Order: sequence, then C-alpha cells, then structure tokens
Amino acid sequence: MAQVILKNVQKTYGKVIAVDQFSMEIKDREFMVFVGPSGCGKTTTLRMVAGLEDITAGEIYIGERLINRVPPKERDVAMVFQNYALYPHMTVFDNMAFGLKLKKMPKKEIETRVKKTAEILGISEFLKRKPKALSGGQRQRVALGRAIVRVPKVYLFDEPLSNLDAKLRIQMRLELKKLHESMERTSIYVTHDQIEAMTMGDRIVVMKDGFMQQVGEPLELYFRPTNRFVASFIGSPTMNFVDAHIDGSGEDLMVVSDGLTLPIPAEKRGALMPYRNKEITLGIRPDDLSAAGSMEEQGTIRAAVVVVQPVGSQIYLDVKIGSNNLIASVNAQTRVKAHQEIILKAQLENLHFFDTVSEKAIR
Amino acid sequence: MTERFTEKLLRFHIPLALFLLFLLFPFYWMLVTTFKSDVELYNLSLNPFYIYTWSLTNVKHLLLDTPFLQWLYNTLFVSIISAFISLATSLLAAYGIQRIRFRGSGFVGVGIFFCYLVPPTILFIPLATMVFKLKIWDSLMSLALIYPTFLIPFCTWLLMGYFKSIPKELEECAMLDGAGRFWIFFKVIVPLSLPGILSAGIFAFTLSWNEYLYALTFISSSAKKTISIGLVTELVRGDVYHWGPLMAGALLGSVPVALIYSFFVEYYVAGMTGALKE
Repeated sequence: MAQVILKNVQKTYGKVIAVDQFSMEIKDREFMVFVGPSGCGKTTTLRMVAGLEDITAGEIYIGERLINRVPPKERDVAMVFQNYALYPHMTVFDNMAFGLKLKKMPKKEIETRVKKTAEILGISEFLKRKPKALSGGQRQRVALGRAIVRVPKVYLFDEPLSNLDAKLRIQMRLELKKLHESMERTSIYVTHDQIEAMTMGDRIVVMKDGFMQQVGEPLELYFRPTNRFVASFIGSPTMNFVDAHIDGSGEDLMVVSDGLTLPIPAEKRGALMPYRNKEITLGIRPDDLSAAGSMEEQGTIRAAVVVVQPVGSQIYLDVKIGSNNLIASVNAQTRVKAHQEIILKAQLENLHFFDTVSEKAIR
Repeated sequence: MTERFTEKLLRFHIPLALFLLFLLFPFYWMLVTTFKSDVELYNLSLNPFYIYTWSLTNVKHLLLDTPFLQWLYNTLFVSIISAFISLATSLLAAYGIQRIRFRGSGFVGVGIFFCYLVPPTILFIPLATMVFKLKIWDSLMSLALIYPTFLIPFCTWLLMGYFKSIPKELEECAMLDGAGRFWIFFKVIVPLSLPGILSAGIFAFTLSWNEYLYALTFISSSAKKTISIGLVTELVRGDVYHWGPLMAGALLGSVPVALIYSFFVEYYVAGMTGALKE
C-alpha cells in the first residue's frame, strides 16, 4: 500500500506563503493531478512529497511512514522533470540504469530490466546513444523510462509533457495513462493544462495562490465547480460569466441580466431564494448554449453574432447579449454569419450561480 | 563577390593579422635573440630581425652553465602541486557554496572573492612570517603552499560560475534515484564540469608558473629558484644583461605553457563560456 497523505501542509519562503492548509489523501494506485496557473503552489507541493523542498508545517506520509524528515533517496519515489534532467554524459542505458546501480542490483538484472522498459517505451534502438543525439520526444521517453525502471512506490510528474509539441503531447498523454494502468502505482501529476488534467486524472486538485480550491473527479469539477475560479479554469472555451440578479415572485425565480431573462429550474430554487432581488454572477458554459429555432422555447436568448470561429466539430460564436459578451459553442451544421442575429437556447439545468462577493457557488 | 572579399579582408583578415603581429612579435624577438651569437647581437649595423649565422651558444650556456634544468623542474613541481591542491579544495568549496544552501553561503562566496582582491604586495610580509615560523623558508614547499592562497579564490569563483550552469534537476533526479552528495558530486557534477575543471587547472598552473613576487621573497638558494626569478637573478648581473641566455630561458620557459594551452584550447573556451549545451 502506498497512499500519500498530506496533513495541513504549509510551505513559506520568508514571509511569502507558497502552499497553505494543504490536506488530502491520495489513494494507493490513484492517478492524482495537481492543476492550476503558474505560481499556484502545485510544483512546490510535489517537490515537498519528493523531499526536494523542506516542509514548513504539517505532515506528509507515504504509506504508513511519516516522511517529513526522511531524505529524498529513502522515500522510494521517482520523478519525471519538465526539462527531462537526463545526464548528458551518460548513454540512454546508463541514464536508465543509474538508480538500479545505486541499489546494488546485479548487473544481469539491471540489463534485463532496462531492456524490457526500453522495449515498452520503444527506445530500444537508442540505448547506446547519448541524450544529445535524441529528439525531444525521445528524450521524454528516456526520462519516463528512467523513472519506470526503478518501480518505486510513488511516481511524481512535474509537467512532463509541456516541452513537447501539441501532437506528441496528445500521444504521450495516452501512453502515460496506459502505462499508469499497467504499472498500478500511485502517481502525482502536476500540470497547468486543464485538458491534460481532465483526460488523465482519476481525481484532480485545482489550486490557486497556494490554496486548494477543489478536489474531485474530472467531471465533478466540470459540472459542480465549488467556486468561480474552478469554473473558469476547467473547461474550454472558458465559462461565460454574467453579472445578473435574481428576480421573481412567489415560487417562481428568474435570473435577469441585460438582454436575457432565464427561468430557474425547480431544484435550484431553494438555494437561490435568499438571493431574491440581489446581485449574483451567472455562469453559462459555451457548450450549454445551442442554436434554437424560435423564441417560443424555454430558456432562449436573442444574441447578436460578432465573430464566427469554426473549429471543425463545433463553431465558437462570439456573441453580444445586451451589453454582455459571451461565447457559445454551437453545432457545426449551424448556418450563421457574423453580424447576424441568432436565437440561443441555454441548458437551464446546467446554469451556475456564484455569490458576487465570496465567488462561491450557490447550491 | 570581390566586394565581399575586400570587405572581409578589411574588416577581418587585416585587423587579425595586425593583432597576431602584435602578439607574436615578442616570441619572434625571443627566438631571434636566442639563436644569435653575441657578436651578431651587439653589431648595430646588422638587421636585428634576421639571423645571419645560427648559433647554439646561448642555449648551451643556459643549459650547462646555469641551473636552468633544475629551475624548470622546480617550477613544474611547484606549479603541479599548487594547482592540484587548489583544484581539489576549490572544487569542494565551489560546490558547497553554490549548491548546499547553508546559512551565510552567499557571504562566504563574497568573502572568498575579497581574498582574491588583496594584492600580494601587501600579503607577502605577513606570509613571510608564517613561512618562517613553519620552517619552510627557502624550500619549494613554501611556494607550493603559498600559491593556493591566491589560486583557491580564483578557481573557486571560476568553478562556482560553471556549477551554476548545470541544471539543478540533474542533481535532484540523482538524489531521488538514491544517490548521496558525494556520489552525485563525483558521478554527475565532476564529469559534467570537466571543461571548467580543466580551465581552472590550466589557470592555476600558469599563474603559479609565472608567479614572481612570492618566489623572489621566499626562495634564496639558487638551486631552489623557479624559472621566473632564476633567469632574472642569475642572468642579470648588476646592470649587465646576458640577453642571449636570458631570451633562451624565456623561450624554453614559455614553451610548456604554450603547449598546454594549445592542447586544451577547446575545453578552455567551453570552460570560460560555461554552460552545458543540450
């Protein structure tokens, strides 16, 4: 069992707080992703698990063992770095065998293990080369191989794909995921790319300014973000935010903003009742806005198209609703041109409401 | 085509040629003087840049009538030992200051630099007292131990700059792979810093080879002199300059250094420009 437990972990540099009140349990064999904008503390947290940064306060356990004071070499973790960190003076084979040699593993076994790993990653033919003679993608594989060959308790990935080109990144994403499934080891993966996080993580931690914002499965973060930051960070194109207020009489509630009035579905009324006649922030995902036939249907909005951006499977429309600028992601078959008017239909059950002051989701 | 050639000639080849002329002329002068006979050397009516009759008298005089070979050996001995001591010490010092974060590491770094700034003309008096008390006065060991006082600060600074250019992740990765500090130092840092170490070594070697003041102060017996002081003290008698043997000595004395430089010039440049290029 190699779960990783963080209890109230804090990291400060002088007076600057890099990570604060970080508590979570990463289950054995789980693929956990830390995601957030740069400077949010995700890499710092990872490095604390690795032992490359001291822990200012709190406790970290790997398995049952408290590792606050355990030096990195005794933690039995392997890390893949963003810049690969391959030893330039060693061949690929020696790079991969480095950790095994340190463990005093017999030569024969080192050789079979390195060769097997190289085969899995498709780098067998490069074993005798030095890193300099490899392409970025191949170096990336060697870096992965060096981590995998050791079979540690926990794998740590620090933005391993961000130096690859877009196409290769998607391919490696898939391979990493497959590898994780076959290796069955606890993994922590740091990225700033929300799509990487969504596609790879069993669970995701969204971080901002050193604080955890939300922990959950990818779709949970997408459909039930706890605050405005998570809502805007997860999903592409980004969620539309509109300043609005809650209106209505009796049981019926409506959300009203310049140019749009939408009825609030029954299951959300309870939480929104206290906000009647008050300002809120309305969130609508571009995917929840589709083209509609007429204004007769429920939840329709009249919008002026500003820019049309076809991306193939969808068309992104920059639209103006009243004084609000929104993005709608409509079906690729929709016939629409710039400067036209279009009727959009909002998916009412997927509307998000946020407190204007605290920015927390209202549920 | 011709225009580009002229431009290249004017902007590159001619300045380079002038530069070379300026730099190499002293060597040419040494060479010419070495292989001239005294008669030819002091005859002002002859062309001074040309040798009319080659003669080995000066070289013979230098090698047979003066302890030049002993001086050469002394210089080599002192330079190698002091370069070795300085390299071994400053490798560890530079690594420690650069990579092991301890309280005051920045201060230590600057402090070492200040040591280098103190001129030997101030230091040689207190150092002389120490040398005397250590009972190594007038011995090669005095120089081999004193030279590191200015070589270590120099090499440490040079190596600190080099270590800085090695990505930290390499060490961190090795650490996670289970390597200790010394293992990382010898298996990762040292192999990667070879150009830097070599240039620090060459520097240390040539600085000790050319050192004058300390050698003049701490050595008095003729058999223990280094080339730089031996030539000046034994071949300049009062106001008489024995130009022939003097130049022969200068020529033979500078050959080893020139050889070392030309052998390692590539490493040397890499060491100066730092950086691991991936």
